[in-house]
Amino acid sequence: MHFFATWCEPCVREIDSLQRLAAATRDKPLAIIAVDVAEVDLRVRAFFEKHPVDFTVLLDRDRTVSKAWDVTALPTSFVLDATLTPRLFIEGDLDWSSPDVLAAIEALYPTTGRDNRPLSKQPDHS
Amino acid sequence: MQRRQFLQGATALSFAAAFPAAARSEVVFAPKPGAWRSVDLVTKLEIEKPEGKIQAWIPLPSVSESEWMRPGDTKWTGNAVKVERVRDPKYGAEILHAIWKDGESAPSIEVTSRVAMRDRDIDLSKPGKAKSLSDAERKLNLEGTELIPVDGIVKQTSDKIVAAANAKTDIEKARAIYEWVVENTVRVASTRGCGIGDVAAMLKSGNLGGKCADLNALYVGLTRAAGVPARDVYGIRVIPSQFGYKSLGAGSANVTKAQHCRAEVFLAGFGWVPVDPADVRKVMLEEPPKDLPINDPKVVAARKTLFGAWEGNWVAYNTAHDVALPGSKHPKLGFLMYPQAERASLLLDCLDPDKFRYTLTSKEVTAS
Repeated sequence: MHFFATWCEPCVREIDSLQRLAAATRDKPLAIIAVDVAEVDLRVRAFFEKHPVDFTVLLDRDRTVSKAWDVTALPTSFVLDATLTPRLFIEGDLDWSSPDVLAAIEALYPTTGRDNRPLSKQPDHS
Repeated sequence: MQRRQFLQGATALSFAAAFPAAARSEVVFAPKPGAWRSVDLVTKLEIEKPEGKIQAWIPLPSVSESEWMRPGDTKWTGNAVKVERVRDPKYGAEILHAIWKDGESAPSIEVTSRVAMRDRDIDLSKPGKAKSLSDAERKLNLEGTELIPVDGIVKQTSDKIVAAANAKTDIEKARAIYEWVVENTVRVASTRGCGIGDVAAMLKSGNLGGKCADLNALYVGLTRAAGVPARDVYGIRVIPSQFGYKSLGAGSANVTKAQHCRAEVFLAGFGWVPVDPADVRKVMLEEPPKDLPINDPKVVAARKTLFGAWEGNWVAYNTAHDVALPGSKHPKLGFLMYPQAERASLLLDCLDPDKFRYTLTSKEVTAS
């Protein structure tokens, strides 16, 4: 879950990084959902006409969702495991296609027979 | 993005002690309330690719102050089927709301507002008997808004600034925060429009860059959190600076992108006092030859003047936050400083005037 806005410079940089993640994980059990915070629809649409992406973009028009997720800075991302438990939390932009990041995400993929219960209820912060 | 250490140990040194003699300003920047100047501010709006229901909202000059801002008549022409002036009940912001018939092929409206303006200059060494704020006004200008909370990190930061400056009185607090904003923020050229004004996000991220709606909102939030009433004043530059500051005035009659948010702080004995730390940063970034250091004489002069004074070359629209557009289901706007319009229930991008489409022009009116 990636919270962003088109006015936020680090967010704009990170959109390309997320697209690289989408390409690298095309056949993997990973869904990327980008949530635009408090911008008008047409502005967001115009942005993605210039920066097409392969992942879902949702609109949090009145900040209800970002407040529910306690997002106070942009960009902010949460990586959830297969049980939808938040496991990783990132405040700020990240190179999502770096080997370390890909490895951390891969460690959360569900595998047959493995116990996918989280080690703790608190997500790791970075 | 690393969390930056946003306090750089700034203290509210007296202005004279903060700069060496070599940087003493030789630049004159001394607005004084003298002659009134009047302009006709014209907003022309034509909706591109009309479809479905079309409606628009145009901010009108709503700040009426006998000493420095006198809105006159507003007139309009166009092909809307309904046009009405609506007043926001909380802040008194006036909006012209226009609605077109479904299927209108070329929806347009042209709105002309006449406004008279004058410089402001408050002598902060001589408190007078300015009218005090009512309880309701005090509450309004101390409370948090959607984007300007006055608790949490805003309060913590404000407390640190005030403590570091050993500020005890309201004027000391207001000035300490002004100096802190000047020293710790930066104007960012690539910020769209005037910025967003999300004060908590700015402080939490440590990224204190933006434009006027960011930097002056930060000032207002920190000052309110210190218990001193403050407010943003959203408006638009309409004529050049009389003191030669290219960055502090309208560069031409086309003021489509000349919106500017100023600020005020309420000080007992003085009333509402003009402040504009964001414009000090604008001088640093944009005043020729650009990228001026903080001790450049032009910056020094602006910094000294813009706590207590400003030029009457700017029209004030309103002091409103969390603005609901009447007749729209869109969430409230953080502030209203640009024309707004909806096409088939989708709000257009007010920061893209060429596509929207709208223009604003300003023409000075000479008394005959």
